[in-house]
Amino acid sequence: MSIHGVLREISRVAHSPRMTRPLIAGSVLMLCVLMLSLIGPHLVNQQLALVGARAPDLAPSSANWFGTDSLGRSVLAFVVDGTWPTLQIGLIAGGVGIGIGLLLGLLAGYFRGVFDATVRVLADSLLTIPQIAILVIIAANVQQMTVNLLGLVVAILAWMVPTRTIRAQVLSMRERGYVEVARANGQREIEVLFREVLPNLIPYIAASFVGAVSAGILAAIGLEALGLGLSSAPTLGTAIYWAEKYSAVLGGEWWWWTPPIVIIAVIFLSLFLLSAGLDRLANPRIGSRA
Amino acid sequence: MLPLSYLIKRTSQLVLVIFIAVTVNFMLPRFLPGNPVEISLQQKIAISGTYTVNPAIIAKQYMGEFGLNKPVLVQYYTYWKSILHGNFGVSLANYPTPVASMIKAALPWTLGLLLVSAIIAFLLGSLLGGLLGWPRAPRALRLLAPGLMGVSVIPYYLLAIILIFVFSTHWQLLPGSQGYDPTQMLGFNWASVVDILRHSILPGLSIVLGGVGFWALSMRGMMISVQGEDYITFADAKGLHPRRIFFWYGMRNALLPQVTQLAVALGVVVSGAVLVEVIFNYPGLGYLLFNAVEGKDYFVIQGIVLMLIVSIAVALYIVDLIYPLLDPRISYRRK
Amino acid sequence: MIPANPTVERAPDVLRVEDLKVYYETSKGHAKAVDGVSFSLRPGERLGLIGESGSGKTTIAMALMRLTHPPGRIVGGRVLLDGRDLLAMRERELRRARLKEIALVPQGAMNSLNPVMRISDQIIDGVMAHEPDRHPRMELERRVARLLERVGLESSVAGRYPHELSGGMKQRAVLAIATSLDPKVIIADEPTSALDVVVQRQVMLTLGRVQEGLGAAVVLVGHDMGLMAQFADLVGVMYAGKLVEVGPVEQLLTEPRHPYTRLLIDSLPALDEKRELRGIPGLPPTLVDMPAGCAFNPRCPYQHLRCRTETPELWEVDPHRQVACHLYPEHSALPAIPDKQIREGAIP
Repeated sequence: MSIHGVLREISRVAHSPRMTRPLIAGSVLMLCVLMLSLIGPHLVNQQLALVGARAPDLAPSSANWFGTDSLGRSVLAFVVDGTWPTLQIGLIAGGVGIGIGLLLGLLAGYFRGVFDATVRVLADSLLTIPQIAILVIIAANVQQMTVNLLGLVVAILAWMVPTRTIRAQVLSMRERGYVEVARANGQREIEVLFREVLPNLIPYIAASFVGAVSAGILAAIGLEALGLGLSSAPTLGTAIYWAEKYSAVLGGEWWWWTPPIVIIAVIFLSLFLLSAGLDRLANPRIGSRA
Repeated sequence: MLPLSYLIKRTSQLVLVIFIAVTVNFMLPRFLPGNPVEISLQQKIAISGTYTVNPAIIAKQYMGEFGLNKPVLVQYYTYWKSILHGNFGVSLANYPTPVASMIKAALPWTLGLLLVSAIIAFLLGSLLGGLLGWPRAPRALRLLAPGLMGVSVIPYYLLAIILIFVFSTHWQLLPGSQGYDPTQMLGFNWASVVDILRHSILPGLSIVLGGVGFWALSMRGMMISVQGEDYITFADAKGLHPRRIFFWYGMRNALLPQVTQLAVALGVVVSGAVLVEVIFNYPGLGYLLFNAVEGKDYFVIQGIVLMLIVSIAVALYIVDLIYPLLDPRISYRRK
Repeated sequence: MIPANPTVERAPDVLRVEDLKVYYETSKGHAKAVDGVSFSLRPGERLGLIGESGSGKTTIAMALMRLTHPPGRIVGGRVLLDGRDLLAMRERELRRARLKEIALVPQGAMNSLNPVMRISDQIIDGVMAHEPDRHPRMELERRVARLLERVGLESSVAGRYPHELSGGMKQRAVLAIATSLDPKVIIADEPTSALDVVVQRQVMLTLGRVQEGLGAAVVLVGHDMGLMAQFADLVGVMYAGKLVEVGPVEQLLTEPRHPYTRLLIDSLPALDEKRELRGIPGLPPTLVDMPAGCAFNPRCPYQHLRCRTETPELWEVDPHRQVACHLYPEHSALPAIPDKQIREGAIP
């Protein structure tokens, strides 16, 4: 599978009739969020996100589009600033989760044996443990939290589902014709893995990646809302935490917590649509015949 | 009936998980840098601004009393012993309240709220999902679908915030915090019951609304594949009433994979519920955990986390035992 | 349109199908799975509908019970059960007629049984749906035992789940359910396709025995000519959604009139002599894009000009014998198969 081959594959998928509405809608939304997070910080005056930049507790006005919080920060500024770190954490979690998942799932499903049994037991056991428990313990014991660290912490619990999905797929592929043929043709196991199995896994990898990113962001926001998030940069989750701390909800300062929630909702909505679309790509049988 | 080998296998799995959980719980803080007691005391001193004692000396005393300066294996053994006696240590923040009693006080609130709302969300969501996946269900229901999906995308705790704002701050209909009115004394009377119920509506609603969408979507998928099966067609050919076919042939079969899903989703459900408690200052385990994290109250954190892990492990164990009763094929199949 | 069985018979028809049309909506247009099929059955009569896959036979079986699922749709015709049109009935009436008067023995009994219900419960719920008055437990159990016995199953099967039964047992259980209320018409859709030959025979014998005992009419749908030869009284040959030949089974087998029937019979391996296997050249048409004129003409060794422009209708060539082919009524029987070279022009 050369680079050319991979590009050709991507182009074929992009033009296939399975590029359904959810996929397109999800991609568009995600694109908007990405633009906001990457370009936004450059358009907004960064200084306004610092404590005391403006007068505190101001409702939205033409001067402050989203108003200010109890520490005098411009809500617009820190929300825009905080979107990219949130996404980053998700991407790290998703990336690591998929990386581990792919490696373990591929090897376990293809070579089976003791390794497979171990991986399976490990993944299943970890799945039964409530996320929050492990995450809280780890996060509480870490002194300085950074984006990367938080991403890794969250990734610890994000690798199980991709591993299971990929392993299941590899198991069923293993018995299929083209794998047998390749083996019968004398191809080495490694070659079979890369040439035959991997390319067909791509839709599952993509779907699992989106799922892992989604789970990662969810867990990260959860931790942040508990106060275990980043100590330095703001993220959407920590915004919620501060809003809680200063009783912005009961106090009626809706402009403080609404923008973060809206952006979070949009992020999850787009991830959801993307995953639904990718699922359909991987399993054309799942139609909308309801 | 349940084959013995299955029972043994599953029970030993449960024991293994509990064992691992307790061990990890024990090891983790000991591997991380810093002496938790000392740090905790230092923080307190820093906050209160007084400096009457040397934290290092107090820490040593404390460690001595709790056997923290003995070899690891001895500590491990004592740890197990105390766990089995229900002794989870004492709270550092609320010295000398035993952790176990704090947990005992918070548990009923969490059970009442979390368990009930989670079950409602599961049942309601499954029913809704089943109907959405059934081609002969009333059309009007389809309209509900996008709304539900939209709501379910928002994590529970964020939904909670919205709900609080709308119903509590803005419309002043329902209480937005606490489990009961702090100014009243709780007693076994009608007024208390109503008070508690009123306070549980919004938190419960957040969990239910947040969860229904997920379960509905999942069930819908199962139902779509079930309704294409031959036995549905044959049931139709028998002239059975559509409602009977929906429940006994459709739902009954679609529920099987759905219950399996429950096992996987339980961890996530619990996590979400914990945060809901925090948002509402609801006096359950979640709130306790939150405060413990804030105050670096290690023993409380450990105790709660252990409780959570064990209860989920037990819940899954029960689900696994019930499953063969739902699916007659399982008792026969050897994994 | 020449109706089926124009001559008045002694016993009135228990099942009469008139111009049944079932189309499938596809992105490329309508696929005419069943395009104007008519036939009738008297009580106790066994009709075999035979054809290749895609000829519309399963579609007909489902349509007769009004079980057609989207993207299929019944677009026209009548299915008269004892004079009442099943296709025009209201839901409730239809439900009452199903199982009690017209029953389905589906293809693939493997999957037709609810995996989470015991066999007895699946028999009983059919009974209870049609006889809602309270039945004492004992009576129901005895009834179930009798039904199982009738199809050659032990009464212990009642308490079992489908996955505990073998393929043949499952098929018989399904047969027991289908005949539990003594229906007048039994639609058997390839009831033995998934079974091995020995079990096939057992099941068919059981079906025959039960059907005779009930005096019910049977529509047996399948692709196995040998099975039809053993079981059916009358055989209807389907091709591309239409009936191309109908007649009593022995006559059809010894003296087929339609070219397709002839080729179908010829393709059966012979037990008595060793020869090359003969197939039918070409492929069945896609039901969306049918050839003009007779649907069989691209593959027909007798095809001539008229075949390509005019669609033949079913024509009664002899009492109880109908054929839809332009060779008739000029010819009285099928001529010998011409050389492959002779393609154009009329057949001498």
